[in-house]
Amino acid sequence: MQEPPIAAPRQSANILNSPRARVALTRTASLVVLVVLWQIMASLVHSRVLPAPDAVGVKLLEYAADGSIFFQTGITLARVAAAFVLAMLFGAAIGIALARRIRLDAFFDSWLVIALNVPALVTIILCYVWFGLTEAAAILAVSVNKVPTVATIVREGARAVDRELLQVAEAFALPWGRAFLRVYLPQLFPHLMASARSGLALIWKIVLVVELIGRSNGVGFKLGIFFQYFDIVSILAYSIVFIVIVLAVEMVLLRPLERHLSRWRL
Amino acid sequence: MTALTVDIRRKIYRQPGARAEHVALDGVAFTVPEGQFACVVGPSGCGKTTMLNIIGGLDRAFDGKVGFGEDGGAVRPRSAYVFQTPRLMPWLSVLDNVRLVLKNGATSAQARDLLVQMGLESTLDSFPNRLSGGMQRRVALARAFAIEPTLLLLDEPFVSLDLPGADHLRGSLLDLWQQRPTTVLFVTHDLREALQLADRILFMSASPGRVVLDFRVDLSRPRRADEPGIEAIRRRLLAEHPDLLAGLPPSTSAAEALEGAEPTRE
Repeated sequence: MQEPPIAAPRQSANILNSPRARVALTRTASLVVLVVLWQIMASLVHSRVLPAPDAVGVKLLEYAADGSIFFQTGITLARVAAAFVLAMLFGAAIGIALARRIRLDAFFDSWLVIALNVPALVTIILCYVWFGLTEAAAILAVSVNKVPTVATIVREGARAVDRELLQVAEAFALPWGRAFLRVYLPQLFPHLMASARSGLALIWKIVLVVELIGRSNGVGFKLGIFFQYFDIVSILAYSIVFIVIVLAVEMVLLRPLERHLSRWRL
Repeated sequence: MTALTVDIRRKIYRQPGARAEHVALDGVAFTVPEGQFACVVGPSGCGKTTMLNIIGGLDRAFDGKVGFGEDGGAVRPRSAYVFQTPRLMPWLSVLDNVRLVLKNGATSAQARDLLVQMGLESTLDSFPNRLSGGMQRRVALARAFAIEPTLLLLDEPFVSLDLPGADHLRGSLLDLWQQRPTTVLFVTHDLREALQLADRILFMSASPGRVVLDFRVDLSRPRRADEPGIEAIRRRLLAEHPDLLAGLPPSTSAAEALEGAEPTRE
């Protein structure tokens, strides 16, 4: 453990040169380049259909000041959350059930394949037609689109469950709930996480369509209105907020959760 | 402590597709009085693990009866199981692995004390995959004793350890058993190990397994592994029952070293 005398200056240089810092720098630079390209394109085209980033920024601040953008995204977020929770719960339950019962799986497998291939728009229209233009129908339509994907991914995980560990729970006569939460579910975690990731990405997009077709508030509804008025600036302003929120959920919720639950693998 | 009455008339494995059925156990009957340390010795593949799984309640598809207590009732006692591999939950810390099996309301201080006694105080918060094989087995042993079992089942728990490591763990097992008396059924294919540990040895035949010899070990405790008395009894048994013990691997150090290299499984 001999420290060379030049250690101190070299260390400060190391922080900038560390691989992580360089990656972060590259990511930031790429975002800046994107905005600059956008600005250049906008000034070249100089058209109503491609507003410049500064115009979009001003509009964004305006909506933020009157609070409308927070209200609308808040409503959309609530719908996303509800649909996400429902889809994860039912999808996981179905996936686990199918993995455990071979006959059940043989019977419902083709249903699952069909469900996976029903276009989202069809489910949405059918839900609205059958259950009316209600909040429940909207959330149901979104969840139904997602349940088959979750079920398929979780089924894969549940098939690969380690029976030897389940035997431990049985041999020590663990209460059912504890065996499920501490022995069974942790084995499904990578698959639950994968389906949560892909699920969130899908649900964000479908919620907007559901709002566009049958709701009178939310980001999707607002985008529809802006489209009718050809208000591209507002559409882009809303999109940016939306993208930022999606990234924030990924970075603030999903990644730390994943890191916490898989720390034993390190 | 609880007495154990085993009367397994027949255990059959049906392979799907195959017409022939495999008879794993054929008339295994014995009783173990409460507090006795009984070893079951038999060649690999004779159904020792199958028998232990039946007694442990992990396998209910058999013809016969397993009873507990003086009256041989079917009510399961508080039983613990030490498997051939440690089978710890990789996502739980060492302490949480032991706490997992405790009764509701039991304090984790007991689990902690047990682990400290086993020399694991520095690893309480570590995950199992950061422990050596010997330490993982020690945790598995602590987990079994943590519930203060009245019946303890062990399935070749020290196989695939090096000789000093296995010897050390055998010592720990005897210490724990003397401090917390319980009825023990210990399965092994190593006659020398059985002679070092047991009050009594049940010899099983090659498949289909039956109990062919019930042998009382009248050696005083503590016994050392290389005690002349153990070697003398071993020689005598091999001389008196050459055909009976023919299926057992020769208990030479070379053979044990070989077994240490690759975990054997039934």
